[in-house]
Amino acid sequence: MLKNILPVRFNRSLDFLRLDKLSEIRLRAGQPTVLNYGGRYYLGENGLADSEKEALCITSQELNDVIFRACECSVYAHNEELKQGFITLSNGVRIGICGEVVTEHNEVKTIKNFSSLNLRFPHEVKNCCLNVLKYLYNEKGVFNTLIVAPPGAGKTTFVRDLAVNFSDKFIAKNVLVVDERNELGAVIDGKAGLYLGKFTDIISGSDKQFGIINGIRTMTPDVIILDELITSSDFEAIKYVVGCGVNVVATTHSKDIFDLQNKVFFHDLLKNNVFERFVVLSNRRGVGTIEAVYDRNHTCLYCA
Amino acid sequence: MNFIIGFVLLGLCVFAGYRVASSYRRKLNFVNDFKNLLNFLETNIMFTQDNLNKILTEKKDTFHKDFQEFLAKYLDYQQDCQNVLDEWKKEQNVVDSDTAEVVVNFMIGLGRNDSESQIQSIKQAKEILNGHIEKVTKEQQSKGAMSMKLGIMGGLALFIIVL
Repeated sequence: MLKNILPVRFNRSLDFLRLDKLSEIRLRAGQPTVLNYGGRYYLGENGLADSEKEALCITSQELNDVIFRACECSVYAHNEELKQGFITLSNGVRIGICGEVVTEHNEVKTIKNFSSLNLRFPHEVKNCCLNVLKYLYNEKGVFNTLIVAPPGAGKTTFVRDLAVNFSDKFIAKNVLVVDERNELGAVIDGKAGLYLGKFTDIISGSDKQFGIINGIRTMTPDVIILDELITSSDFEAIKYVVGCGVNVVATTHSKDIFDLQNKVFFHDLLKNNVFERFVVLSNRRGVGTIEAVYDRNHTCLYCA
Repeated sequence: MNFIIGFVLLGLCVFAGYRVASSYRRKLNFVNDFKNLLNFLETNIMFTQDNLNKILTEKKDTFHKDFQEFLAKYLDYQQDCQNVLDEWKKEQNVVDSDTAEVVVNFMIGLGRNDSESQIQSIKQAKEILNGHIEKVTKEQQSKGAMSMKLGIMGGLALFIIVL
C-alpha cells in the first residue's frame, strides 16, 4: 500500500523497514524524510540513515504525486477531506496535508501545491486499555469518559481498543463510533478496515453533531465514542448525548486534566460534571503510557 | 484468365478505397468517443464524484475499439501515465498529431484537481475538441466517401482495361 503511494525511488529503502514499527513518515518538499520508528530517524536509501546528508529528500512534484496516488488518481473525489487537511487511506493511514489553501468568500475550496505531508500509521494495540478498563464502567453502564493526552500519545489507539472491549468482551453494549476523520474504523466501501467490535456501528466522514443526532435516532446506542473534541459544535454534541441518557467516551488534546481548565469550551462540561472519568495518556514510557485515571472530583483512581 | 486478373484488381482497388475511407471513420469515431467521455466525466465528477477508475471501467465498453485500447492503456498506467501516453502519441495512426496532443494533455492532468478545476479543464478540452470534430467530420464526409468511390471506379476501370 505504502509503496503504491510513495515515489518509486523510496521503495528500496522501505524494504529495510518493519512497517509494524513505523508510526509516522514526515515528507517536506526539499527536506530530508523523517520517520517516527520508535524514535526519530531519517529515511535513507538503505532504510534508516545515520545523518541528514544520507536522507532521501522529496520534491514538490513528488509530493503532489503522492496525494494524486493516495486519492486513487481522483483528487476531486477526496476534496471534502482535503479541505479539512487530511486524507484517510483504506488501511487507516491518515495523511495530514500542508499546502496552499484556496479560499473563496471565507470558505476553504481546496488545498493545492502541497508543501508537506505527515503519514500516520494506525496500530491496533490489543488490550492496551485493559489495565484501567475496570475504572471506566460499573454494573449500570459505561462512565462518561474523557481521554486526555498530547498529540501522538496514543489516544486514538486507546479509544479504538475501548470500543472493542466495551463491544465484545465485557458488557456487549451497542457502541456507536462517530468517526469524523475515518481514522478509528478506516471504513472503505462500507467495510471497516480496523476492527472495532461485533456490536459496534460506525458513522464515518460526518461531523460529530450530525453523526450523533442521527446515530441516536437510528441506532439506539448505549455508548458513543468520539475522537478529538476541538470545535464548539463538538462540545454541544457532547451535551446533547448526555442529555439523551447515552454514555460518551471522547478524546481531547491536553497535557493533563488540570490543563483542561484553561480551555474555554470545557468550562461548561467540567462545571456540570459531565465527565465521570478522565484517563491521562503520555509518551513518557513510550506511546500510550497510561499516566492516571481520575474520577469527576479529580481523585486519582489509578496512577502509573 | 483476363477476367480473373480484372476481378482481382477490382477487389484490390475496392479494398484500398475501403481502407482509406475507414481510416477517416476511425478518426471520427475516436474524437467522438473522446467527446462522449468528456461529457460522461463532467456529469460524474459533478454529481457522483466516483473515482476515475470506476467511471472509466464502467464506460469503457461503450466506445469503439481504438478508444477502448487507448483507455485500457491509460487505466493500466493511470498513476504514472505521462510516458506511456507520450509514447502512444508518437506511435498512434488513428488521429492527427494535434488531436492526439489535446487528448494526451487532458488525460495527463485528469484527476489531479478539485472538482471545480476538473470541470473547467473538461470544458476547455471540449471547446478545443469541437473544432477538431468539425474538421474530422468534414474530412470523413468528403474524403472518406470520395476514396471509397475512387476505389470502386478505379477498380472498374482497370477491370474494363484488362478485359
